[in-house]
Amino acid sequence: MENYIPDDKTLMKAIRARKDEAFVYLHKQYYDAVKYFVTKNSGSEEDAEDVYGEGIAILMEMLDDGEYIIKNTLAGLFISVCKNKWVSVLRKRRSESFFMESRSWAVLLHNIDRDIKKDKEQDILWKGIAMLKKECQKIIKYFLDGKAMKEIATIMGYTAATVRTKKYECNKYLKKVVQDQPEYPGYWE
Amino acid sequence: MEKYSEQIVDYLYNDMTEPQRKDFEKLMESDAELAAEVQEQRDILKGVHARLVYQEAMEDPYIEEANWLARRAIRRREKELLAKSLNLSKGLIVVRLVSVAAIIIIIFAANLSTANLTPLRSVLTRSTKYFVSLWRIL
Repeated sequence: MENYIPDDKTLMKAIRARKDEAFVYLHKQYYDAVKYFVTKNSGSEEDAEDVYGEGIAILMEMLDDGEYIIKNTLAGLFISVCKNKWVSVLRKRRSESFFMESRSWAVLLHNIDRDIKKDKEQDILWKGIAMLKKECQKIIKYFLDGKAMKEIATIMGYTAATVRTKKYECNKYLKKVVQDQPEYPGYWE
Repeated sequence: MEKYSEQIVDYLYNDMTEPQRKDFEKLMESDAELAAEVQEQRDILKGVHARLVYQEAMEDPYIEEANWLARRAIRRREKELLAKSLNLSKGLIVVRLVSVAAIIIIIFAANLSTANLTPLRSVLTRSTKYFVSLWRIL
């Protein structure tokens, strides 16, 4: 179970077959990303859990009905589903609230993108990512996706030893740029 | 902490053998400072990973199509859920109407069976209580 790292096509097939490991992998891979944009857009952690759960149900229906573009990445498809679901929740909340004006879907989706853009300029983790070389971003992402050293080496065209060295260097650099920022000490509070 | 820096990275990047992992976890149990350092770095990596996944998703060249399909699927699902809940509401309304009709008939029958108004008042009071409790249950 721990080493289950499927490609998109295999994962979609496993979701259609309702395989447990596919859902465990989805959670590990995407839950934090969903939580990230929900909590950055006036939502709570509970909202993120609800949106994630609904997102999974909608994704299953879409895959069952074959309603997706074959060239879509699973990340693109799933995050779109969750983002739009959150927009739908926000619309309902606004229309239920007497003083809040109900906004159109497009405006709310635009607002989420605007808030994330703003967050990218202010958030220390985004700043840390921006300071990393593209190569380091890839190495960190591949490792955190659960890919093995050899696989990463093959994808990036390096030897396993080089990837190993780069992994330490990139992580050290990331840690330094994040921790060096003045907002860091209180960031997790 | 510097002496553990490579081990911390290997642990967080899931790049350890099972015995190495277990040994390191034992080490963390006995060293609170090390455990705190690992937790801090884990938080950074979790946050960075969430943002990188989000960024990757937004860079999907077919993201607009994915958005359109997602909206359609969400609306369809919401319509289905609404239809289900409306069916349920219809059922409840029917039950309530039948209960009210039954109570009116009971009151009417009680009124006919007696010329004295006292039992009617008592039936009315009891019926009202019954109606209120039934309404609350429903």
